[in-house]
Amino acid sequence: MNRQMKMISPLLLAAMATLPAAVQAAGTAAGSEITNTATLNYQINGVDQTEVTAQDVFNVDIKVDFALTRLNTTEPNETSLEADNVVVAAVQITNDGNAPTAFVVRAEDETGTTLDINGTTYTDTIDSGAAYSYYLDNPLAGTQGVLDAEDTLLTGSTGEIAADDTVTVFVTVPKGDLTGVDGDALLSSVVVNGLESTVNDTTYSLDTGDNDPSNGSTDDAANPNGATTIEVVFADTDSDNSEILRDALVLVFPNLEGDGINSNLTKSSVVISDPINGTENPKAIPGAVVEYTITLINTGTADATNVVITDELPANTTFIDAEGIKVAMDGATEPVTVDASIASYDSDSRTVTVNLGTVEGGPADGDDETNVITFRVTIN
Amino acid sequence: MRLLTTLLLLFPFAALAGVSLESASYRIVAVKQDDGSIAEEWQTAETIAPGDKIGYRVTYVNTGNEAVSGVTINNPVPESTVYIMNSANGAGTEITYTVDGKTYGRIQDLNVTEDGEVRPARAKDIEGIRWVIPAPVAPESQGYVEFQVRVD
Repeated sequence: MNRQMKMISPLLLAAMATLPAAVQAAGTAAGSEITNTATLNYQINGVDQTEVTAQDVFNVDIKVDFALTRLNTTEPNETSLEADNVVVAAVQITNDGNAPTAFVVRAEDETGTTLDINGTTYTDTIDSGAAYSYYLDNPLAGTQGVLDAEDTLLTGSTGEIAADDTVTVFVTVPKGDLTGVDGDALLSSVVVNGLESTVNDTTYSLDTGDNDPSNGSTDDAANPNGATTIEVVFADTDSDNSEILRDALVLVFPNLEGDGINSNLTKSSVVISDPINGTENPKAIPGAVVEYTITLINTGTADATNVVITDELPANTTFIDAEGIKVAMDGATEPVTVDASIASYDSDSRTVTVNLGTVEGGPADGDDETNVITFRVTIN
Repeated sequence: MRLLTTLLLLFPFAALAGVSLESASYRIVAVKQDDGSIAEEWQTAETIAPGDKIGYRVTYVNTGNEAVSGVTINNPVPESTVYIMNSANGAGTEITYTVDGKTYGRIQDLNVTEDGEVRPARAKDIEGIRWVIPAPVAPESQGYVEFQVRVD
């Protein structure tokens, strides 16, 4: 046994030396040699004979396999059209193959289709135009998972993605190409094809023209389908070197205006007391106290920010400083006296100013924040 | 003269004695048969990718004119592959396995120490296979042994 081991060991070591040490989840790297060494010992007339060895070598071929997932798994992409470039789809490409592989990405507008995301169905209601741009998320700089200035505009290939690596590609359209109202959705399909893989400094083209793997792929041409040549095996879903994923963009705007029938900003007045009747059935006569109530609700999907309400007092009224301005905001229901930095009255311009800040909206009615402002005046 | 005769007698004997050995690899593919069943076929290994099943057939031929005995074939499981349980076979052979490259035994008798605990050997622990052919192999006769692995 010892003799056999001594003979085998150098062969094993030699075989191991030619192999990459790391085995990835995606499998043995393309181009790796797999060597089988069999050794036979025998005797003739009881005498040990020189052992015989046999070897069998093949190279692991290129396994093209990749998967697409939406970057946002639980919600659609959203925009309030603040940025010039609107992300209509954000797709993660995972290279499940065994070679560094470059991909090409292209998007198409889906018309009239639906997409379920986390139990919510989104129906395509607007079109994107066709001016798609593609950005590769920079994993080292900027914010990952967010389109920012550190990301790279793609002009074709994604560049090579190492085996087992995942990259994020943002598909964008100019915001000028999008028109719609709060809640409108844009569905896009993103098609990704393998472009080329590199093994041992040789680049092998992957067919992307017609998604037919039986042509266009550059195998090792001199000796196709040989044990020690590199072939391309499409192992993705349907073995067609093509994966598709749909993603949704939802327009989200705040709505402080209303639906055209009911206004979201209302103002009402109540006579509290007058000098004759007191608080008993008071009339709007000189000296009467009138309370104004301003109500604002955001029925839109997005939060409204930096919301400021100004109200100029009617002529022939006088603001009652002692009552001040009461505000119910940020979920409160009863108006209370607030800090002067939030609510103030300017006697020169006779204007009430209330800085409501953010008024929250949301997809559900319960998300809609209602703010109430009250103040009192006397009739001159 | 006597010495020469002896040499002449010995020389052809030495030249004709021998065993040849060959290892061939096949890609094992599940193919739907005409009757609808699925059967594994050993196909020429044109393309091999991670996850594929590889069948190895190691063929020996007694090319000499003397019977040979004590034939033992050792085959380490190739790097980047994992042995497929119960796939080793060889007519008229005694098959044993090793998990350390030193001691051989039946799989159910092999143990592996992992994280300080001893457990029975699994497929991925098998480092090598040994076939012992107890019967002499007659001149010009041949045989083969087989085993299967999965490419990592």
